[in-house]
Amino acid sequence: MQDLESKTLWSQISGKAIMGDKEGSKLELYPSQQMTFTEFSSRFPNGLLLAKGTKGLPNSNYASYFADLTKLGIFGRVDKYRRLRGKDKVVGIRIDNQQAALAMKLLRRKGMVVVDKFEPPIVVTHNDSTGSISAFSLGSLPSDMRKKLKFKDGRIIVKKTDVAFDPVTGVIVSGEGDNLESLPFTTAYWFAWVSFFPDTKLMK
Amino acid sequence: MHVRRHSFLSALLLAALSVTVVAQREKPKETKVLGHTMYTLLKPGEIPAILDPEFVSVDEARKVYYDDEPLMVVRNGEEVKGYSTWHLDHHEIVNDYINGEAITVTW
Repeated sequence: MQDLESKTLWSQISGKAIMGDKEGSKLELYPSQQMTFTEFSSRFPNGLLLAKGTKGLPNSNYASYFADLTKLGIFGRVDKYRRLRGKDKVVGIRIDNQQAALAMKLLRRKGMVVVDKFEPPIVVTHNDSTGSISAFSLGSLPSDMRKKLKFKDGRIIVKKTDVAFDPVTGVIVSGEGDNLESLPFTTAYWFAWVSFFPDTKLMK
Repeated sequence: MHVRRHSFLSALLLAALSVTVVAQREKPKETKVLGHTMYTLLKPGEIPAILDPEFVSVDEARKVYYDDEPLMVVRNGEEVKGYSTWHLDHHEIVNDYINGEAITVTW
């Protein structure tokens, strides 16, 4: 990325200024979620959507690149990546100087994964049918509850309690307590994520 | 015969065009950045960022959004905004505000 004021170049994946007057500065990651338009419209009927003029094609402009496992970025043609295939998708999380990557295949299988590498631990959720991906800190939960999470009936529940959370927004929907705090995450191909963060913990 | 000749001329024209395209394609510029090589393929602005985004309601969006169109969603207080990643394929960056806070949405 290049900012138009200082002409500084910024890394899209790390948020760091890599060349120019702002070199060494870092942009703060902002929490976000991913989901389909149908899911958005049912959850946020008063929400706003980026105007896009015409309807366009019903897929990504890069669909053929996504489907081609032999193309890894613009120049990459050799899948030299060991822990996953280079074109496997991951959800990458960065907190301070620590990183974790969760394979999308794992999230599809489980629906919810707790990452206790971080302190406090975090939880990442995914629903393949609605395309939703979210990440939350478990910092608002008492420590004895953090190891009792389960994904059941479309909710994050705390076993042996009546506490439950919405897996997309983190809002508490049953019991007493605070909402879960949304965290930033990055969806990326493994080859891209591991190139920037080679020491990342991988859950697959 | 005319058809064959026409095809041949077309093939020649295509071959000539291909050579021209190959000849005119610039080698990516290489720059050393923090010990790594950065390849520049496009000039800044060739993928036009959205600098002054406009938004529509869910009902308006229904006319141009597909049901399964993937979105990045940002929330702050009562404000919720969705950005089509299919649309961002053409722009990659949106300069925006959420609840008064400046953000850049990148894809």
